[in-house]
Amino acid sequence: MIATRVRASFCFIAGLAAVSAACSGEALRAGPAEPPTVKIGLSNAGANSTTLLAGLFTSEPLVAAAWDGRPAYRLAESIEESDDRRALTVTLRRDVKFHNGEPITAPVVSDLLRRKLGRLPQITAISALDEHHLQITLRKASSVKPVDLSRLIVDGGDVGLRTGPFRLASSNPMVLEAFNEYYQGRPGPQRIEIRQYATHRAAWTAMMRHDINVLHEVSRDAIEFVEAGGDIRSYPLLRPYYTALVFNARHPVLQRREVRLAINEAIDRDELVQNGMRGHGMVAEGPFWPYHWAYPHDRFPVAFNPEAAKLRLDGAGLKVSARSAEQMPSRLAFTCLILSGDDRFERIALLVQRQLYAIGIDMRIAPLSAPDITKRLGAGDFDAFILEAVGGRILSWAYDFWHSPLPGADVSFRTGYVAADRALDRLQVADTDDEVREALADVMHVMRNDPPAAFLVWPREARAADISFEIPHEVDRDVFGTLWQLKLASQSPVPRP
Amino acid sequence: MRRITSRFMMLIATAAVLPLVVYGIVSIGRLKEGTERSVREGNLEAAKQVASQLRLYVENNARILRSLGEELSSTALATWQQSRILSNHVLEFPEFREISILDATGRGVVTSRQGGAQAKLPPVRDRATHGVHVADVFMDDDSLPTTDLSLRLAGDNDHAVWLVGRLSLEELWRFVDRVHVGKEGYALVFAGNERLIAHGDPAKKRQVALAGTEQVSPLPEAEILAEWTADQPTFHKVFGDPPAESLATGARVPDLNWIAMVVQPTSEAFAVSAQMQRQLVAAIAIALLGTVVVGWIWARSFITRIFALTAATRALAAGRMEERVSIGGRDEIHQLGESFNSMADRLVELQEDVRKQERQAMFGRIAAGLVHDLSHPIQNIGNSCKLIVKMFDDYEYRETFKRTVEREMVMIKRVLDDLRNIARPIPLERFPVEVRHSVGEVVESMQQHAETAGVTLQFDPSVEPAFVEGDVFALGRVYRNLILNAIQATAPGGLITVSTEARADRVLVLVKDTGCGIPPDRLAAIFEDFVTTKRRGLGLGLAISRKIVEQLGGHITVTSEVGKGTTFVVDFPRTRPRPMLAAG
Repeated sequence: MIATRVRASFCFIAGLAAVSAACSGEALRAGPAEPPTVKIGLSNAGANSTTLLAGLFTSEPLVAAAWDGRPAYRLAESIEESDDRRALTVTLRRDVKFHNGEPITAPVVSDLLRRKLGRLPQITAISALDEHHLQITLRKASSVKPVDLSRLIVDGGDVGLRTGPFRLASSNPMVLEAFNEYYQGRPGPQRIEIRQYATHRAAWTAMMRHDINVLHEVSRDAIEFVEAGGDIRSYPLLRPYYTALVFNARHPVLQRREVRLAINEAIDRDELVQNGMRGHGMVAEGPFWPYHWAYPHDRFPVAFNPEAAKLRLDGAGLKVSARSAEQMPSRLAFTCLILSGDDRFERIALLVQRQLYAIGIDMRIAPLSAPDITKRLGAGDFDAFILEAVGGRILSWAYDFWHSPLPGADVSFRTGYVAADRALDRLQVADTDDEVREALADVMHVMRNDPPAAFLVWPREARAADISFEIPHEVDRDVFGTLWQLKLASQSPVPRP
Repeated sequence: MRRITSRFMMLIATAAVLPLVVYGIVSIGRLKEGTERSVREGNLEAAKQVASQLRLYVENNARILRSLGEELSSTALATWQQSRILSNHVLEFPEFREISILDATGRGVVTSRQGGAQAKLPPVRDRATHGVHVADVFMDDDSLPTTDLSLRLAGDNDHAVWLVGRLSLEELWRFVDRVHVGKEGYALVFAGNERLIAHGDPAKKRQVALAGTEQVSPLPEAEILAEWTADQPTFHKVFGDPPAESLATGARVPDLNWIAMVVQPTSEAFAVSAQMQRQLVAAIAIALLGTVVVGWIWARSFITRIFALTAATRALAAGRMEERVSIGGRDEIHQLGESFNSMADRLVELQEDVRKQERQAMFGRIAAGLVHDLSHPIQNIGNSCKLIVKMFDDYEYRETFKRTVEREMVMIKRVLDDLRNIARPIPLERFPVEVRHSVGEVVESMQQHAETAGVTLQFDPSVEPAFVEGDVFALGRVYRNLILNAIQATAPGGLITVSTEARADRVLVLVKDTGCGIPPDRLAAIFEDFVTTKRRGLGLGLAISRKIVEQLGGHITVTSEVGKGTTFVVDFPRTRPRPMLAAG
């Protein structure tokens, strides 16, 4: 449950980040011909995934994270840091209205944000200074950057207190209507329906039948199939997630730094991209968004060196030895949890398994259902696991994920990893650009020398839409971020109703 | 009249065009038949090649499975080793989504798939290729065609252990995508259950995912499968949107119940044939046109000269004696043209001769007439002058002399007036003239002449009076001329009858004699100037008479029979009398 929630939340936040990025540029206006209802097919997702996806189109943060991790102001017009850097003063835009028709005000917004303080524990208080200004008080100086506020979505129980380009018309079935008073312009589609399907095939077949005209996710194996189709266009996106083999630092063997280093050296990430992902991905050097403005490019390239890994394990006294008739002779064995029923993880796990076997490590794969894996991770009952973790485009996600849990924090899983705590703390409070760059490099350095995980790949996936739709799209950006600007492609047939 | 140009065109059509058309039709038919047969054979060969490649594709994967089976069977491997081998194979050969070892009940013993085997034991009906069974194709969760390849590792039917590989046919799908027949032709593959498993047309790709669902109607290509046989592998059928006739050719994949089909729009498949047909038609058309044009030009060059001769002949007939032809060449037509010109020259010369002779004859006749008409008065005047010298003292004679000279001078003056009136209109005055009276006076005055000539002149007036609009003196001259001519033409003892008739709106004056009559060949010319049937005289009497009658609105006609006599009829419009002004 936790894992599902974590993953779904990751999708949600990442999607919002994409929306923010797309909307940071000049807004396009819909053409004279109004597109019909956009029907999105969602598959292979959790129970509340339609709600989370609807939030992508109905709600917004004060500020979003642009493609390079810089802040892209949305509901906020500006954010100023106090002299002691313990507080942020947010000036709200004056042309934004809630879906209930009321203009946004600092008291209402601060009330909504206070409900979500758990997502940013560094914030101690949010208060309205007047109708258009609110103040955010921080636990430590500079511990929350303006772009970190992208994690706080301005919404609440009342569906009228949202500001996105669409407003909720019905939650079952999930139907959104265009909010024509949207401050960035009138949305192109006048209606969005979100339908959930049990499998990729069901969603895909629905797309083929024209029951839906937008597909939330095209599986990696079917991308070429989609692209070869005549009336469907795929929109690849580099998701702000990374796939990692996360170690339990409390495991008797995996807690040893040289073992984790050896595992990292033994994994050929290029093969994972090419063989495990059909080329639809890029190698992950760490948990940070590789396009972030402070990212230390070319300073921490991952090295595939199985011979060095063997020597390192030999030096650690881990020799290959027979265990039992049912087990392969190995230096060490551990069990890796993966989410069952998801071919993406299974193939990557098999490749990692084979690569580790090459250096004498027996990685046993244990597929578990989402509830089971969530339970095991929450209890710390695991050796290792492969999952997608949100990287977002902001640095604070890495803090939340890899810093040891703060007192009272809602912990989804416990790895026991503490080696990077100090570096992450420095990164959290780094103020100037140079300080951020230096602190980020420090974290990368620590995680390279004492890795909490084997960071594997950033997956590149795809959405699909009827070719009659014209949606603003930039390379690797999430087209859902600009879906509200959809219009009918010129010289194209009118899509089926 | 059938023109000579039509004859020429028919000649050309019969001699040149018709054989060319027949040749063209036969050639086009042969060409079409030959090229279409060639295309059909070519497409069938392409379909067989596709089928062969599909067979090879399946066989290669079966070989992988057999190789894996041998590896698993040849050594006593631990379960983890088998599992690792299966996993490695799946990673090495990505088209295998799963490889599992199943027991006779279908339970997975070892599997590469995390979470348990999904591959299934082969049904009995599955086809086997070199020991590997190929299951019916189905669609996986990603809508990609999938099948299970099964290899019996050990045991009999009830205790068999199977090695089953779940094979994604995506590579097959990619191969089919790469098949292009021409620019628009594509391939598609049906599994034995008529399930579409690959479609090379991007627009139809979704049919693969929809295959077997109720929402989509069967592909038209699939309908062919029911009729398909190895002996009848090619069909013409309408496919596509917009519909267009296509050539569909199928070939069975060896050892598998699959059909590889190649579909190509006939517009493209037979494009070469159609192009050659068009070229041949164009060549024939150009040849026909060339033949017609050359024939037309040649005929025109020939006929134009004949037309020129015809036109010149007509010009001559119309009196344009200066017309000549200029006909080129050195053939008979040219000679004919030269002869025509010579003939025309000669005709002009002859015409000039005739005119000269006519002028001479006319001058002679005029001179003779003048001599005749003037010699007698002049002679009378001369004789009277001789006598007056002797008889000058005789008063009575002087009076006689005076009357004689005046009478003969009147005669001379009349001759001269006649000559003058030929060239200009005769001045006439118009009054209502009572015809019986005016004709009767003339008849009375001519009785002396009739008696002298020995003929009887009688007058037969109409019962009622009749008036005409006329000049009494001019009319008198007309009547005198007619009566005088009748007297001169009638032998002694003959009878001359002058009569008048009063009709409703016409008045007729008839002068009928029993004279010698006028030959028919001269009858039409007697009213012309200087034409006479008498041996002497100018021949102006009848000409002037007709001129006077026509000036007064009447007309004069004549009927005659040689040896029996002649009748002149003068026909005037009848007018009302005006007693106060009536004259004559």
